[in-house]
Amino acid sequence: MNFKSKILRFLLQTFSLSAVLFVFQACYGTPQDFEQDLQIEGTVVDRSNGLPIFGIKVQLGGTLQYTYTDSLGRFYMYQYNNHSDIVLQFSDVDSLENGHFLPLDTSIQYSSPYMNIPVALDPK
Amino acid sequence: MLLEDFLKVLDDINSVRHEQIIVNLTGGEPLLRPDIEQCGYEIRKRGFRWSIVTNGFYYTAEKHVSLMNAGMGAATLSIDGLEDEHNWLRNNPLSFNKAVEAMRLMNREKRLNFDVVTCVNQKNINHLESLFKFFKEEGLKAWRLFTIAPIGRAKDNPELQLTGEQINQLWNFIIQKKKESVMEINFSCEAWAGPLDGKIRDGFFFCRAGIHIGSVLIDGSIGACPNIDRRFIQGNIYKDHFMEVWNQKFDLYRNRNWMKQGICKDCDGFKDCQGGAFHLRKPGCEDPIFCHFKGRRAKG
Repeated sequence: MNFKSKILRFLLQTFSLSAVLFVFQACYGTPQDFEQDLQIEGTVVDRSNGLPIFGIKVQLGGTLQYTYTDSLGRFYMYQYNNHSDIVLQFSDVDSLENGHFLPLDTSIQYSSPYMNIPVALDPK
Repeated sequence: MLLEDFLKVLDDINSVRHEQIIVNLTGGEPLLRPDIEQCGYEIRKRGFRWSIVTNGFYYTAEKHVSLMNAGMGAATLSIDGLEDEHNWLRNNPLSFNKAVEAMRLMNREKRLNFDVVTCVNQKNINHLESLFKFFKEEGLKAWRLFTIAPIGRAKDNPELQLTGEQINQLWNFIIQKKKESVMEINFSCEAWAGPLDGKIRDGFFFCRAGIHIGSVLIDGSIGACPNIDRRFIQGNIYKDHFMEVWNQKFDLYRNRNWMKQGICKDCDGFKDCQGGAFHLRKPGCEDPIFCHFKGRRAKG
């Protein structure tokens, strides 16, 4: 490739990158998403019988982020993706109505931007 | 609108590449919707990203967590001045404190890209320096300043409109603050600014309505930006396929040659401004509702 072609290719590549950034720059509405999150989903069950547990608090370690399991024991959350291990804390914070379970702290090795985490809690 | 009705639109759009599309939930106020997190989660499940434009009134710590859990990635928050000016415009004595609390929550979130927007008007135009200092102390990273379009209820309220001289004052303020590089600061997509255009925003003016932006309104109407005159609506999700409308009925938004009439006909700036912001157009009218460039030039 001669010098002129290299210059032309450089200019084209530079222009193309600018165009892409410009195209998606926010105008009406909001800025562009950083796209820096990962999705965690999972199900919490009673280890003694395999049934789902409702109302378990799922706390993301080292943050203020938390959620609760639904009636099928399911939970989900998006969190900041720093490509490192994820610490989740499970605790039974409601009444004794649907059983009483021991808390669980667990560290999960990061594997991809979507992670499915099955969890079994021991009855107290 | 039921969530399932809107999800059909996303499933329709899913027939084309959509990785870079953000679904922006606006309003009114999107946080009034009790299933906002469910909306967001279903949007993410379909491969789109989502964001909100909010006044922050209902943006509590608990709401922040639930929105982030549902995969919200960007937000725009309205703060229209320091306490007196903001509460005057929002007509509520609690609005400012609630909006500031929302800003602090958003500012702490590494994965949330957000900016604050301010509608500049007669009450706050002379307090922008104080507002800038406040935002600087709060560690705000991005601030966008708007003028208020003379449409809807705003058109009959002179306190909401700036004079040509004040528009000049606003633009000079932005130019000065951009030089200080404390935060990203930009004028909105409201108008082309003539020779100052490259100095008041990152990039140049380009009205993306109908080109990069399509909207579904609460009644199912399909148009470009939601603040555009409703007579420009091109379809409705309850009887049309969104993608068919987007592909076949958006020429009016994309070919702006019809705007070269009235005061734009012989304007030297038309090649750069292309008729200006679409929301300042009315069907059947030759002129835009307001031309910042000519208004400023005439009065400033």
